[in-house]
Amino acid sequence: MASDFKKYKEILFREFREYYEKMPYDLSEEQREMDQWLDHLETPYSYEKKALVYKGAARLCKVKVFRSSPFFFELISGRERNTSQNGYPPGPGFEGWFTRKTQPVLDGFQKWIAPYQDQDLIWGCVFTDMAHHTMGYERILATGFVEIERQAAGHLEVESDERKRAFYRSVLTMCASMKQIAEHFAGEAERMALEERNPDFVENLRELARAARRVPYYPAESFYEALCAILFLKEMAVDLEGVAVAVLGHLDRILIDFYERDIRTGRITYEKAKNYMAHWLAHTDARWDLEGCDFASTNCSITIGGCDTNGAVVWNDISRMILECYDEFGFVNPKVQARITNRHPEEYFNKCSEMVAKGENIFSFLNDDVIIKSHVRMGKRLEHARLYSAGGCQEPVLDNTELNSRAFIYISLPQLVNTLWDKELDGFFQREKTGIICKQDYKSFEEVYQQYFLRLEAVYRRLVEKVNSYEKQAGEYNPCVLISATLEECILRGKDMEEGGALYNSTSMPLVGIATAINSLLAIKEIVFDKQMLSFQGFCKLLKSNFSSDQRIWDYILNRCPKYGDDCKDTNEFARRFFADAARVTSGYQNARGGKYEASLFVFYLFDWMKEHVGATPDGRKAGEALSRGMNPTEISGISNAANILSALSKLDLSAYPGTGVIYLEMPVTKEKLGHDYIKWTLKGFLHAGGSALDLNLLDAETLRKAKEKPKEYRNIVVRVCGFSAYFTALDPQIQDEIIGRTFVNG
Amino acid sequence: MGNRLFITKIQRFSIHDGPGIRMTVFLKGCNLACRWCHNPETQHASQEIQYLESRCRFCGTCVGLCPTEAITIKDNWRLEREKCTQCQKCVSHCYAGALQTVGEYVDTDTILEKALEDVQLFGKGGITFSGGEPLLQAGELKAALKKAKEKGMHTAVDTAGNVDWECFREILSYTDLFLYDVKTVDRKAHRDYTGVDNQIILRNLKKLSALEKGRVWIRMPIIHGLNDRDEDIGRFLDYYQELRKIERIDLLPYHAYGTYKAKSLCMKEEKFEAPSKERMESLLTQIREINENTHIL
Repeated sequence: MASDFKKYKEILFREFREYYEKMPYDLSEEQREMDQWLDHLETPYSYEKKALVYKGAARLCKVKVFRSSPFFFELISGRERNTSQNGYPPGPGFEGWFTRKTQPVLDGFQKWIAPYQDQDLIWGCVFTDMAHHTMGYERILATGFVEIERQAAGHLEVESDERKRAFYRSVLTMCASMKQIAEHFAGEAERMALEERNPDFVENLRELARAARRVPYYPAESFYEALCAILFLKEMAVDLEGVAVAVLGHLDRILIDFYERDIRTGRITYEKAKNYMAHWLAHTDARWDLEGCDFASTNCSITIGGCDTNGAVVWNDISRMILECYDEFGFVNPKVQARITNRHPEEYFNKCSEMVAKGENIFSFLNDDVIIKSHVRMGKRLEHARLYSAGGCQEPVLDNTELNSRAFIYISLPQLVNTLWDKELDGFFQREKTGIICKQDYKSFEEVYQQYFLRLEAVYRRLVEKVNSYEKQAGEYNPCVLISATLEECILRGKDMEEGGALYNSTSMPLVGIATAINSLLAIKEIVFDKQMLSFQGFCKLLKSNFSSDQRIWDYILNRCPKYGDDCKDTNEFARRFFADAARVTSGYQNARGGKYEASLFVFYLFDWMKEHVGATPDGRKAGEALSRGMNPTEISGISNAANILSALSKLDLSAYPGTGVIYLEMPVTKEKLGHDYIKWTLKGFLHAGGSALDLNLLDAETLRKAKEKPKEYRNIVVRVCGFSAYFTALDPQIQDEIIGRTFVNG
Repeated sequence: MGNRLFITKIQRFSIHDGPGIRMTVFLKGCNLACRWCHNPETQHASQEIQYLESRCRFCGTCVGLCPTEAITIKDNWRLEREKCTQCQKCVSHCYAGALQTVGEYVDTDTILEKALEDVQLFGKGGITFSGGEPLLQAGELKAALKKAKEKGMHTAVDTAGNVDWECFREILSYTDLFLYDVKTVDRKAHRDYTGVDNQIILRNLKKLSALEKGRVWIRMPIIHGLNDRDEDIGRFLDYYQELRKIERIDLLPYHAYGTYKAKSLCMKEEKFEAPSKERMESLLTQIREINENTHIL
């Protein structure tokens, strides 16, 4: 049985740190050897070239086993310490070996998108999502690679299509490599056990060695083996695939059968299982440099709660032990994505709320009823839609069946407003021959509105065309045989996930700054058309001057114009129309993998990253200021009341957005700490309002100011940045200021 | 047109005005004039023009528009209230929001519709009528409370209690909870600092606490040197013995936000001192001896 995590926590973190702080380890020689293999490889198929990475890992890489951990996961592959955030640009290790060679596939796309990125109209540099994937964990736990190997061999016997045959050959190479790598871990642990003096660590090493001889090649037979296999798979993918697997799985659903079987047979107790869980969860925080990284999004997430494939609510001992581990050991990562419904027991709400009320700002909450419905609306089967995880931050991905591109290209809705009048921004519409011209005047607000959506549609449609044309080469650019092999449909079809091998193949290009855009259109309506205070041209001049040419009108815009979130009937109606139209024009297109484009408002930190070149917007926002966050009201509107926000939210239909839209609520820490009941009621309010994703922060702005000044005294403050949590004092000063400046609920 | 209440504002997601997440309606007009008042805009029972200096652009628009030349800007913005006819022209043209009208009649049904929406949203909460002194609008208040109860909402009334017992009797059947302000038990201090005697207040609270169905939370603003001394607390504890059933006591340490609002309404600004954290903790400990359910807000 594993060493006592509580007892050895400090030793474990130290042991990890001593190894990880020396990363990246130089594997250039090994990669040169792989270059030679590639030179001698005679195949036109990218899979077989990529398979050299798996083979190389098995033959050339050493493994690192930690004496204080009962898990095996660290392949010495040359990657950087904080790597799992992105698959692009390619890292220095094995993970980047393949995509460094196929970079020319990306060149044309990057050249095309660069001017629009420079304008902050579109953000993105790759044509496919390389950072928010999951793996078919359940399949590997149930059957092991041995079954995948058997299936691939079977297909190979009957398949005549050379391309598919190459895919199956690569799967066989990958499976053999995974088996070999796991055996390296076993061998290393056995060797270390002979030298280890601490009996608790000897036990870790022996247990680990036994497990590594079995999983993931053979099916997992215990709770512990299942945990071993998941972690091994995830880390191998990050080490070797060139994309970041963010998702560690819907743990309480996946693991409960293993746990209950072990309990029945007397193999485990709740406390022993929790000890394994603590070791397992600690892996992310312990390997990352969380304090030395100013944007420490580890991109690792676990999902809890929700339901199973039959719709039965998931809340069990695994859920409990996970939350207890975070609560007791103060973990910041992996991110906890809590799927909730009104059908979940009070115990679940109470536990999460108590943790939030203590300032453990580690959760995202996802509303099952809205998210599942949104996927069914896109044609996915209910039993599949029920099994979603949050892929990284809050962007959902269906377990076992889906490969999606959800967070790789973003579109600025506010900058699109400014294209209505600013000829200097019209480059996209001219260069891309959209036939849309920058008008100098509009007869009615309706014409402005229609023109706006014509433009959004034109931008989206052109992006779809471009992404699709490049995505056809995704299988050449970076086939992912390891991840693909864990998805049943890829094996059946003999197709890599990058080529559409998965059952569902969705794409989203999220819309940034929706509240800024809505308020901007509302301001145009009020100032130009309803009150006729300025002509359209006059308004344009005011914006050009960054509002300096008429202070009074600027004041009017800020204080008198309707604003999204004010919960007035007309504003709610306009917002409802805007949200519905935005979903309509960004949904339903076919992508190159046989899937569909799905609407999304998941914007991560882009509200800040896309602000610099967005001039003054009609809502009163000055040039260069941040755009609205997630689907929150704008900061300058001052609308901070949670009742207003949720009430306005309740008028919208978020099930049109399978990519989710996030509401952020910054709850103030009151003099007497906010009781957990208030958090619980707010969660229920979020569900009642029909929100899709919620990030809650319990903060005290004054304490944060002090923490910025004296970081050493406030090391342990954890904040939600945007879909991820981090130590406040480790963040970039500008991000710290952005968080301090957020409008607090009732602030 | 249904009933109307004269109010200053509606606060949603209110978490300190009774159980749950509530909507608090601030009624305008009070028969106390507490010198530390946190909400001085609720004191006068008439509409007022509020001037928020921090928002003023000193553009002079209001000066030019005022038909009675009541507004001047020399070194400071100034309103001669006796000249003001409340025509609201200055307010309607102040885009910066420096001038605002405080006090409006709002239809009860509109208020209750929104409150009900919030109750349904959060599942736990209700509506609180605060002020000012809501019982000065007892008739309208009763109608509002009655309707709220008909809609199944939890109701609370935050009162300073300086009204005839009859006013309480009128609303008892429709009020689930009274938030009852006790400023000080000391009669002279009460007169000095609130302008009124406290005997009716203390008597009403006694009656209320003795009622079978009455639910009362006491709320005590704590002002350093005024009602936080040992003798002040001693008197309160003595008085407390005369009370029957008090569900909870909230201690509200003084804050100076009211002075900014007082200035904005050309009212006398008076600053007091907030009690120290340690003092608050000590009061909490003392008062918890008589009522465990005591909290600092």
